[in-house]
Amino acid sequence: MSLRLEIQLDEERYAAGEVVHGTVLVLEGGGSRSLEVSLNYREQTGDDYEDTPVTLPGGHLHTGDLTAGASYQFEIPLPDDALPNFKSKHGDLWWEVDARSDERGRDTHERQGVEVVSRPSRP
Amino acid sequence: MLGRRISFETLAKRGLGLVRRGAARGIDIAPAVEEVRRGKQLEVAVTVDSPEAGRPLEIGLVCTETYTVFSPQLRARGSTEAVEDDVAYERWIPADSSQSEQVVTLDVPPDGPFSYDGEYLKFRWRVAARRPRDRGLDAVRSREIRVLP
Repeated sequence: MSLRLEIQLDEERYAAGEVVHGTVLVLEGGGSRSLEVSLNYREQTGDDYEDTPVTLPGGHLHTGDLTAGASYQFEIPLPDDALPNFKSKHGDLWWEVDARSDERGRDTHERQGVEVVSRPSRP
Repeated sequence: MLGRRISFETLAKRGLGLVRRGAARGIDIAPAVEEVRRGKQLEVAVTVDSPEAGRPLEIGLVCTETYTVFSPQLRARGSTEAVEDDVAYERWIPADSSQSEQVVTLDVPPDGPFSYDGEYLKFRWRVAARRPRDRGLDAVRSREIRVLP
């Protein structure tokens, strides 16, 4: 049985400078060396050219095998100058949380988009 | 890694931009600031050496989106990646063509792109003045600005 994860975020929307709080749930357990989480700013064009210009590590959440039903909380601060999400005709910029289980062979990833908006306007 | 090619269409558009710029001698524009936040206004000083009443003059705010696309026809040239340009935002307002100096205020859209220089995707902003010519391409003078999110 393959390992299955789910990411739940505490808020639907964040702004630059705020802290992204969430939980990684283990839906189906399995062998793992470690579980870690990161918050990434992603870039993609319509033809699927992708890049990750910003990676904010959220640290190790757990070491060793993962058991179904376990949950791990995380918090990762967005920088004060974090860019917001934006979708254009030919491309997409967005934030996502990536929970990664380090395993023998292919790692398990669970990714969840995060809506990040501009900070409230300053005079 | 194989290089990325600028498509023929994009090269042609950029070449035409140089021609338009040359035709715009005598027009100058100066944004009051180099950086402006989305949703704010931007003042632009416009100077025309030889003002002509009745000859249209427009001041605009333009954002160009540059993006990478898959182009298998380029394989023979050592790459399958091409760079294309498209207009992501463009608004022009008429200016007083009889004045040699004036200040025009432009609205920066609150939900438009922000300046971004990524690996495969870029958004570049500029303010521009354009004056139609009787024949050939419009004369266009532009200055880059930075739009903050």
